[in-house]
Amino acid sequence: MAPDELQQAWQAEASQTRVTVNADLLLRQVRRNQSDLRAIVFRRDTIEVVVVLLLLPYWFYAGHTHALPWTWYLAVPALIWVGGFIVVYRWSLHVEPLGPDEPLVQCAESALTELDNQIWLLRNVFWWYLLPLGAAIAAFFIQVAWQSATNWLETLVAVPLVGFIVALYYLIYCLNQRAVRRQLAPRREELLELLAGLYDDPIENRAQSDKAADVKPAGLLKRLVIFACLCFVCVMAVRLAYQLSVDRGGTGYPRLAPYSAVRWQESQPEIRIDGQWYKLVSLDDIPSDEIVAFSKKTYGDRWQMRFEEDLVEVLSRMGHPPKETVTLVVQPLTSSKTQVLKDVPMTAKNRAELKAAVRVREESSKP
Amino acid sequence: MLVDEERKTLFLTWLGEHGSSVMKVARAYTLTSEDCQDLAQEILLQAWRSLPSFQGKASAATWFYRVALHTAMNWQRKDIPRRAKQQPLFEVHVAGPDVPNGAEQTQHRETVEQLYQAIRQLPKADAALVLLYLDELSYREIADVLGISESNVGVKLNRAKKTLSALMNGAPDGT
Repeated sequence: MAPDELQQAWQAEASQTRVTVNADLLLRQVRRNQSDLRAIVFRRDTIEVVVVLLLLPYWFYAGHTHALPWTWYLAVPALIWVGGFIVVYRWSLHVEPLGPDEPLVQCAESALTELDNQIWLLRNVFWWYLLPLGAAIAAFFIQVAWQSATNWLETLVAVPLVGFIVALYYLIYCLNQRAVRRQLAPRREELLELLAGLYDDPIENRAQSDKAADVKPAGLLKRLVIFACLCFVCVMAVRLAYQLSVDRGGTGYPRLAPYSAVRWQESQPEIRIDGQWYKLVSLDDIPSDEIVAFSKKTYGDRWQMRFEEDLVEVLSRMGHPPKETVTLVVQPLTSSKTQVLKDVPMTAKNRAELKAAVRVREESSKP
Repeated sequence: MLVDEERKTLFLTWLGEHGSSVMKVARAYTLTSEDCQDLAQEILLQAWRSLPSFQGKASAATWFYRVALHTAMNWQRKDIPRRAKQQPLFEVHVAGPDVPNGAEQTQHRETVEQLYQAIRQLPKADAALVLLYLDELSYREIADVLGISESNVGVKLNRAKKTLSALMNGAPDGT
């Protein structure tokens, strides 16, 4: 059949077809259904940035409230980096999207560019998202395990925690790569095929294909090795910082105390609060005997000094980091009844007075 | 900016003139009547959305084809088609066989069915070229719709027509 005859048949058939549209329903449907790929991507990006903005104050609040070690705050620059990266990446690559009424080649090229940007973002999710956050959280777990442990073996408690982070992040990584493999890459192939059929110059088309070849995922093993190296560096940094802090007389924990002086009757601590002396029965429901026993086991000869001056560290290493205020159960020296002192503030002033009292005691004990 | 009422009037007028191109594109790029309905509805939605940005640089026919082809290229079959969730946005009326020259109409209908089957086997870009050619758009208009040069339209269309003829004559891969 000659092409002209095909045209005639086509036109004859078309003349028999009439389309009527329910315009009101169409209008309602358009208003309801505004979500396309671009809107979904924008919504996801917005959610991620908002989550980062909400997490930042929470991170400071939780760190301050629970007196968490400094590695907790490593996540702050990591969060800022992730949120900032999304904003800067989208902003720097933002191109006014073409409407569907533009010529097909321009639409396909525009869609291909958008797709390439999204593929790049997902394929490199390890570098800009998983690595900074994962390393920061792993460093925190390692430091907590280190400081809570009394020997190297106990530090291994961090292994399942870090393993959990690695497994979780591996899952996120796989989900992202799956989205690229199953949704974006096939769509990209379709667009390339379409453009290949439309380009004037096949060389131009080859350039597009070459650009596609640039977007290749790096090896998973390489990423895991880098993650492991970074964790190792974090561990060494934590260890070094901790050692430096200890060498300078610090402990890495806030220097706070709920009492302004301590004296001892054998292994029973007596504490001074608001000028009154009491026997300490318990602190935040932890019996004083238990605290003393832990201090003796962990610090040896220095157990009294640690109990008096480094209470935050002792309690943290026991797994009960104190909050801004503590509840004390005490027994006045003149009575056999116990009292509950609620919301006793942990203050630096108390700790300073306590230290001064220790100095006076040491001076007076010298011959 | 068009207000809703003006937009609706203009849209319905254009649809009366060029609505068949929506159905042709939808039919050419889908395999089942359900998918065809779904794609056609998507094209209409896109056309309605794009109407306010129409600047009059292209003719209404060119504009409709651009929207239809762009939507068809981006369309993916949904697991739960749109029609399952909403009332149909449009109806297609086809004249019955009891018209004058009924035998000729039947012959045309068979030819057109064969054409659609052949077009579905073409690469997407070639299918677009053939659709525009069959609708008797000029090289200039085809070039406008696709965004390529007129000379390139000539080269590619000749190639596509040969493939189409081969497919119509029964060669499965058009070679």
